[in-house]
Amino acid sequence: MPKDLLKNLKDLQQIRPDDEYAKRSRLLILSSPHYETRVRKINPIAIMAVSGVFVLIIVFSVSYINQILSPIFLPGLNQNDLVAEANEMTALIQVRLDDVKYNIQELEDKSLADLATLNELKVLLKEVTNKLEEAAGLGLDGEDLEVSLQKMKSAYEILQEMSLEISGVLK
Amino acid sequence: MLDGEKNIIKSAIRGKSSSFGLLYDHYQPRIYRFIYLKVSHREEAEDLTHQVFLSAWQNIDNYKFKGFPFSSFLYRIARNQVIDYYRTKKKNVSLENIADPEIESFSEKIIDSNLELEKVREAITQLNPEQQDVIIMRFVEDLSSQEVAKALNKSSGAVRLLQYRAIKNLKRIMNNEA
Repeated sequence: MPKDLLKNLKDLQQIRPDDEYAKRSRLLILSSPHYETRVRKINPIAIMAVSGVFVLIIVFSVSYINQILSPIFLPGLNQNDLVAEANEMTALIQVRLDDVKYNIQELEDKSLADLATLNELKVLLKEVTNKLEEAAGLGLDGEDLEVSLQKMKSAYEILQEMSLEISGVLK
Repeated sequence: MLDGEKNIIKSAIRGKSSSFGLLYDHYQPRIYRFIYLKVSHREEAEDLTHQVFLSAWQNIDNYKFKGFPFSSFLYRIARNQVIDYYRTKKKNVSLENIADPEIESFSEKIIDSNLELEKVREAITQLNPEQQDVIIMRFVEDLSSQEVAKALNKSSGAVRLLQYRAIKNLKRIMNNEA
């Protein structure tokens, strides 16, 4: 093959997807259900708690989507930013929950989790659930939305702590 | 291939989304490029790439590690997505009898002033789909013949033959355009 043609073909590697699109697509994919979530048998206590949080997140997401699509709703720029941030946070929480669920399964499979650890994880999950419940119970006006977002962020931080703790046990 | 790819895939199969995230980060640009070069439309390429990774995430248990990179699995899904895309598009065009007004100029969007690259990209679109696959995988993405064979579900010999014909056609198209 002529060298020029080969070089031009290599140069086509300059084609790259838009960064914003890639970030959005990644979040959507990772927050979508994985096939194993439908078929795998997992610790029922832990999963009941996780499922509760999932339901809250779905309800929360639907509220936001409804709000965005509502013809009555007249969003300001700041409001739109908050809604976008809340949607992103929802997706992040779902991704983190996937990891927590996976790791709880690891603890169980490898018999690494003692009762105290499992209890602690349950307490933390309860705390996440409470924060998301509080967030879901708030209105969707500007100020309430900000408070909701704070609560979601706080729930996400707890999930991060849980991930770290579980990873520490798994090491 | 991604470092520690086998273990990353194993944990993704078990549902660890952050592991699949690593695979996404590594392979998404090249799958996007593969699709873009075949459909010549940025937004369509974005949608199809998204579908490829969503499908890969939801069907990752179908992937069997046999020494070939995860890309072979992704390219297979991508090829099927593009085939479906053209099948649907053809049906729509024949029904509505309209031209697609949104084909983008590559040079305008990505590589300003590089007419040679634009010519190569256009020439690739004139190859048949299998020849396009071989040219993109072998010479744009630097995959080995074996990897291409795996992705196309063909023997290495068949891939070499395809490659020979693809290069010959590409040169002919480029010379005719010159």
